[in-house]
Amino acid sequence: MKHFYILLLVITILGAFMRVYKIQEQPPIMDEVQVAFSSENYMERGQFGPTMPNHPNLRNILVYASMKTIGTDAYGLRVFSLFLGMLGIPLLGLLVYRITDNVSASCFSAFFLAVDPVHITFSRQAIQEVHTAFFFLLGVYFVATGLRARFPSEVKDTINKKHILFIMPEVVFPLAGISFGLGLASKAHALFPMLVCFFYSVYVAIRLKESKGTLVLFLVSLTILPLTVYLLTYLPWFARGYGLFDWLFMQKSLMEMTATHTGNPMDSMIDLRPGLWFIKPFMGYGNFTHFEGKPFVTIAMGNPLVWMLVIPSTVYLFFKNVKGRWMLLVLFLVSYLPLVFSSRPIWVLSSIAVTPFAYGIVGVTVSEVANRLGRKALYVYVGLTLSVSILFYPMTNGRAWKFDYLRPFIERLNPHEQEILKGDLRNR
Amino acid sequence: MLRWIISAVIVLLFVSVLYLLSYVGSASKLYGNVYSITEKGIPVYSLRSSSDVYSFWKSHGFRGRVVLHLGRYLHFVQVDETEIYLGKGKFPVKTSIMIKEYEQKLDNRNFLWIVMQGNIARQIINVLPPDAFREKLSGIGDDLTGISLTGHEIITHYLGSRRVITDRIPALREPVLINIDASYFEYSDAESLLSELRHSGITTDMITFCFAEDNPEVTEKERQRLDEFAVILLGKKV
Repeated sequence: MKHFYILLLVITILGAFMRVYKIQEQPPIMDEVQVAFSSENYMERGQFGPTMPNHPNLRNILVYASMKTIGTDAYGLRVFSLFLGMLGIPLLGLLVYRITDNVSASCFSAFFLAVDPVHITFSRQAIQEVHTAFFFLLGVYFVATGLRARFPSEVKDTINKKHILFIMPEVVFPLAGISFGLGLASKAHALFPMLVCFFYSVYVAIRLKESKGTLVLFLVSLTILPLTVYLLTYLPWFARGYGLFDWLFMQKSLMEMTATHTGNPMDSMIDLRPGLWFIKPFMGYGNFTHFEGKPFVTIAMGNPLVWMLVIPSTVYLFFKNVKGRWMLLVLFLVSYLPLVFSSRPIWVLSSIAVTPFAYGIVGVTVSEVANRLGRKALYVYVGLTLSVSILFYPMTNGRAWKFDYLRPFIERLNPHEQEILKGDLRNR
Repeated sequence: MLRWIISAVIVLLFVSVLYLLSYVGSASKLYGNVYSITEKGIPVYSLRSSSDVYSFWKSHGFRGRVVLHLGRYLHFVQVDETEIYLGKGKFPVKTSIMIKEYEQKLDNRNFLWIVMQGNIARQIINVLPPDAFREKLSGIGDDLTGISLTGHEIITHYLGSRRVITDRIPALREPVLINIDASYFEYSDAESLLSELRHSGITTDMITFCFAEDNPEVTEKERQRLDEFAVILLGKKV
């Protein structure tokens, strides 16, 4: 176990380096500039916007706090994204370990997230994508801890009282509820893993004929408590004179806005189908900005050596009896399928809501396959994966234009080369 | 037992948060003395332009209110923010107070949008003359996203804040800020408006008459009719 924690620490340091390196030299993209304005606009006047007014407001609260304590430089704006982006790496490792009891699978999952160019890109930007993922991972971790299975891996995934060990549910379930509430207050994507945890916990409690007290604790911790946290983040908005019925109207209106959002001018209007994320390599989300006469281009693009393994690994785990597989599969599919079947465009940045669970699945599969193919093949795969992420690294920090081999990716996402969508008029 | 206690604490916390938010919302609304339309001594102010109405409401410290605006135009064009961010794409990011930026661009086209941005209003009700309402209704088209229609109301929102566009004065329990714009009187007559206002049972802190001198679309005849309306309402010129 000691080796596990050391390895996790090494992976986290690698991920931290890729997120922090020259962060102060990366100029803010327009979204980040507007996040600075939005944070003040929300905290001081309760107003949504100017950027992403349809999304919840925890990001505004966090960025406002960091701007007021650190300032409006790169760290002041990005410190929470950096911090939560880095912490998400060991958290995923610990979560996968909690679910699978598999040390190597856990380390692989953490490694894939650490070097994921999409996750690195958004850990370096003051927007809420990695916040959401961190908080829902924390929520799932607490639930997985609360319902810790103690059966060995060779035993089938049947639920049996002697196999489930409830660990301090009085503490971990309320903590899970708070984490999911913070996740929901970052972006709606946190809803899906929360629902999985809610139904699973209730199912376990009923199946094991747990006391009514336990069942009620699960119910209120994973419904009322997240809602309470979510509601509290709207305090500045209520201070504009609104009541609870106004809040319900606002939520309905903004959800409708989110559900029908078709993009803003200058958004990349390709790679909008999540169903292709793990099938078609090199899908990305680009951001173009100018600073002191130089272009800065960030492109969030998955590492194809990992992304192309997601579907085969999912299929593999359907048939391979591995401990914790159903939990990982359900978390992944319940988070992913709503995006696949969404009628509106979904950009690659939203993949962060799905990839942690996908990396858990790939991590388990790679660890299983590595047992058969041997360490050499494993080292080659890990080395290649890291190399690809290093090659893609300039895209995560805005310096893609300096490297000729990255030009095709830039040109592909260049908004001037695409039909620019006029945007949802009600959102502008 | 401990699990029951923790569950009860969570429920209690939830109820307390609901109460807290509700209280914050109610306490944030700032009213003056409230009058019914028929009451003698109801404060009435005559103002030259929509910018004057904004400044007037702001100087009175109104906050979190429902604004009832009678006029032909919606005055809800969003301010172009492009200039605000020019030259800001570097660290440290120099932010500015959005409402101050908007106020610099205040005019008759955006005045109610800025009223909402400035937190004077949390809800805006535009009462349009019937012909103007029919025009708006026919312009909606097939896409009803974010819009619900009843016979005489278009209910929509701006970032979750309710906007109602209607051709009649709704019944409202909450005191409202009333602004009557001269553009309302293109075809409508003063007598019928007064009768409708009186029958609505509406209450208010004050009525502002806006002569819309900043709106080139408004004619002198309409301004004259607004004057006539004031005389009927108050029995004297404002």
